[in-house]
Amino acid sequence: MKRPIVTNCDDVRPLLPDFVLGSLEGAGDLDVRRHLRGCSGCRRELDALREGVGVFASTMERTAPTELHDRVMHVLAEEWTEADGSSRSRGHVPRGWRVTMAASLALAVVAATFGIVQLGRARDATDDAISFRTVLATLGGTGFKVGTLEAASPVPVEGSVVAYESSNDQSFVVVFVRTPELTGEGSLLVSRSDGTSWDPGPIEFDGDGDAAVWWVTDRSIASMTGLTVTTPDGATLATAGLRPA
Amino acid sequence: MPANELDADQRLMRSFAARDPGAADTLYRRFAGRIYGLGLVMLGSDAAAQDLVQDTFVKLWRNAERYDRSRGKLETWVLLMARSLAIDAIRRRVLEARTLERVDRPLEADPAPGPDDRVVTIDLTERARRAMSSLPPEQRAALELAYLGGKTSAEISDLEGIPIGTAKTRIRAALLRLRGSMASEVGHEEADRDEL
Repeated sequence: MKRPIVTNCDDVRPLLPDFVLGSLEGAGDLDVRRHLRGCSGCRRELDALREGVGVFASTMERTAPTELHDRVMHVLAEEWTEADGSSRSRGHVPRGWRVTMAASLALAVVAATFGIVQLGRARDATDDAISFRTVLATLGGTGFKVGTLEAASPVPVEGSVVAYESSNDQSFVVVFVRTPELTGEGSLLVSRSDGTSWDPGPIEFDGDGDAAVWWVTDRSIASMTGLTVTTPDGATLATAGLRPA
Repeated sequence: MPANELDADQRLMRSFAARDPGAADTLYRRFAGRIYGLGLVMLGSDAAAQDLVQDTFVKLWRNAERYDRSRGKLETWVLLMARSLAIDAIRRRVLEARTLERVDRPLEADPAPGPDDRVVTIDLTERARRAMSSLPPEQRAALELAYLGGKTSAEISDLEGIPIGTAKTRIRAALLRLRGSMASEVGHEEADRDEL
């Protein structure tokens, strides 16, 4: 049975208290988010409710023990020291079985739903926003970003990028590339909205010029704006801009 | 909220994401007291409340890039994150208690001296508490169940024996009334200052 689609203010406003307290999940959460994007009246109501939450939270303020400050700063310093070495995972996932299962499931759902393993269909898939929302409604999560690879040189390239952000502070990104007769280990670079970039690791082209790679990261996809694929000899092969699906 | 305040929060979170100790310190001084107080109320001990502050700041840093000022105030985002962690901690306790077949034992209070001894009430807190005390009991109960108990409107409906629509209405009315009470107090203060 199809779930009812929440589309108007009368439907959305009763859901806002649960939404603002973070207890609205799944399809209802998505419906509210979608409605809020296009309704300033409900956004104002949401802001008012959020201010109320802030007032309520203020009633509980206490003076934290003085030693807690140093403890928290020390822990943050440790986090910062270790962050670069542990922020991503490729092929295996360090946070345990549950995340591995979620990654595999989402990857399978994405691939099965959109047929993006077959590159000929990738371009159509990126336009299918309704299907992306269906996947989100099924899996949960906060959103998708997609991009189509564009050749950076006369060498023909096809491919796509799909990035998915779960509700568990995990994101995963899958990249498919096909270019004739390229073999060996290329590289990837993810660009971000603040002008910085990061290297998610290599991508291996087989003898037919096909390559696919995925990774799980605790970095948000919100700041990811694009992807650059580089050939084994260091030339830029293709680029993709990432946009919300 | 003024746009420049939103921009300041966005800049603060970007600095925090970029590992700026000054930003970390600013965030700590702004939120630690509220997170700690939330921990005392929800988790019932000084040690658990301190753990909540630490866990919240670690999570805050790991998610700093996710902060989107267009989705609301930093205060709300941080405090809901802390609340979510506190609810997780409560669930873990329940699970552990069940595992140990001690479900009938209440959560033990920390034997250490209570933090109330060193409570410093600040003006904002006092005003917020006055606003809270002005709520009708049924609205206050619904809000506490929702915020502190992590209950959904449907669960509150079951617990209180009221229609789900009534539960939603009570939470909504409580939040809007709190916001209105604070706005009213601020308005009176500003009017008083104007008269001086």
